[in-house]
Amino acid sequence: MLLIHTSLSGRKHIDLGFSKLDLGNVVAFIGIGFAVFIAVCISVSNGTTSLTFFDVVQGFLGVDVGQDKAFAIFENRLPRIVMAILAGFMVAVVGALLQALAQNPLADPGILGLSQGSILAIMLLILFYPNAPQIVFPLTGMAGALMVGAGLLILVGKNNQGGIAVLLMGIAVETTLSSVTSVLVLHTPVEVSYRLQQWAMGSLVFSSWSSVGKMVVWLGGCLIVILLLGRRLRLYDLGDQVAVSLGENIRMSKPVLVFVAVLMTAYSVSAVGPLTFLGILAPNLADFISRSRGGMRLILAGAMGAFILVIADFITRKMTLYMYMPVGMTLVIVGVPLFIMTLRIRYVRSRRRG
Amino acid sequence: MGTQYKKLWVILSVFLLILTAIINMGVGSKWASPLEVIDVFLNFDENAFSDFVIMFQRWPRTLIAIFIGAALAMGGDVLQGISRNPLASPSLLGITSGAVFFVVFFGFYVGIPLEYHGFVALVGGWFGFLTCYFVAKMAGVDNDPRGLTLILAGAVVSALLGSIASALVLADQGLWALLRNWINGDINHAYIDRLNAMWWFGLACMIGLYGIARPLTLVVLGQETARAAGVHVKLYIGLAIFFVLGSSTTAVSIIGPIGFIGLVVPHMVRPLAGSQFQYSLPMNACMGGIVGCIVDAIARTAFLPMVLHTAVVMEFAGGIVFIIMVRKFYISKHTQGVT
Repeated sequence: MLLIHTSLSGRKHIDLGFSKLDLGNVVAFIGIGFAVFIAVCISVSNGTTSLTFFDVVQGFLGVDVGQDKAFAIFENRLPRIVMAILAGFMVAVVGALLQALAQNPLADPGILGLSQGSILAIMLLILFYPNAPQIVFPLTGMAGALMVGAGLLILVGKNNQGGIAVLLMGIAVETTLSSVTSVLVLHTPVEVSYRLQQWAMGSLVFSSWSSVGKMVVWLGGCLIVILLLGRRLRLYDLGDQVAVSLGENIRMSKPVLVFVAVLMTAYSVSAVGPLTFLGILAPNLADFISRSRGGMRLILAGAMGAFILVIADFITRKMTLYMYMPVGMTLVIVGVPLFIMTLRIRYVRSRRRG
Repeated sequence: MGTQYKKLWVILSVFLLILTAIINMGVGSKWASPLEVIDVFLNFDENAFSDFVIMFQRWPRTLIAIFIGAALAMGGDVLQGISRNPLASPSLLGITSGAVFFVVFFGFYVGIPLEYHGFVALVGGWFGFLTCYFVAKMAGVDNDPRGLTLILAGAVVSALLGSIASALVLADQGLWALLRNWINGDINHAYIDRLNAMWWFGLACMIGLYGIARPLTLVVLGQETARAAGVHVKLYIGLAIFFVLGSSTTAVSIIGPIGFIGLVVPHMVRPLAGSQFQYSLPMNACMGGIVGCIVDAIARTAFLPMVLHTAVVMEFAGGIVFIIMVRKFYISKHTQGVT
């Protein structure tokens, strides 16, 4: 093909004129995208109302499949699944972004306590100003996550962001905050507390088309900012000092990127609760499939995150027939073994390097 | 510090424990002075409401608090010594969550009777501990002199086993009603039955731990010296781990997952009792009991008339101490970039 060139290092890439894309990455993206599509189809056709795959296709094409089937597809399952795609994408991108910024492959908004910070802030708001306008909730969540982020930076200090110490500190902060959250849950009226508990464990139950719509707007806005800065992320991959020597103004762009990451964390938390481990898993698995840099790494990680969350949601819904289980819990149960694999891969790589 | 002082500290902490226990029994929605509490024990009047509350609600809670506090603190002290890791403790090495998972699954799901829950918890504790050890090995703990990987592996394994246990409990309405307090970790007078059924094994393990204190101290101080002195190093490390798992899983099987006593108390005791186990173990037992009583008192009175889960109080206090300790042991200007 005309567009495909081979670079000096032997990797094939596609030249779009304004940007060069690694061929392996593009193939990986298409592959993951296809996997997401398959997962969505399976997920839509499974549930209490039994549907065949054919029904779903007909429904998409606008053929009348009967009222209850149409309701199951369009009002019940699709909003939830689309939300899973969006939230999975968002959390995974945040994870990849934090990992690039902190130069730490294990950074995750859940483990670092950012998610718990926004949960706590939102719960306080619900307790003291339950009638606050809708827009205030994500903003409050943002403030909470920002405070935790700032606190973590102060506690850990500049020189330790790359190690495991920052994770332990994050776990410690998370533990403290979550105990406060549990006290607050106790103090709310019973019917509120049940919902709060569900949300605080991560849940897609409350998805609707209107929440999906808002999510699209936020995600789109944040993505535009990040992709505009995507070229700079490549410089971050080389380390702060190299980035500075290549002319990157870290003092300008780093705060902006951290701010965007916190914004996205807060919004995803206010919509679906915390999704711990997803932020670590998705980027590392995406890296495993196809190594990438800069903005492309974010996109691949996001696609992977969407895939994992759709699958996790599907398992959760299947399990709900037998038992109640929040999707956050499924993520932990599915995610921990994968996380352990990530630790192993990281160790083997570091040993190979020397 | 001389040996005389250490003995003095141990005796002092025994008195302090008795005092805290008596005060703890007086604290609550209806206060009673220490003298009144003693009076209840001397002339018990089963028709008086306040006597009844102290005898059948606060006394069991205090007993449980002392038992679990002592078991977990001693366990933490020994684990920190053996692994040379200041953050090692039953709850951070997967022991607690393993025990919880097994008790929920085999004790309540499968339906093994109460008398065997202690044994089930012991097997579960071993399961969690070995899983954590295996994961840490896989993640390269041998190349990590400060042992961060071990703690991270413990945290991750605990998250996994804890989640599975919660999912099992949530799955069944009846189980949820039965275990909703236990699964969150709670000192509760209703658990006196559980203490009654299992205390002997936990106590035996604690006594066993004290029995091997001297050779164990030699082992921890230096394996070469210990060998030269004729101590069978592997045997004593194995015995110590067996006793620690026995006592701490008994504690967990009584009240559910409870963290941080095992992490924090040894650090409070070490400056006073030093690193010789024959002094530090009894003092840890007393201090663990004291901290258990204090946490119980806070849980019962902080939000009257509501009673908090003990583990929530413990988590809050423990989380803050955890932050301080991570900062102290792992974050300083000299250690940058090592991990």
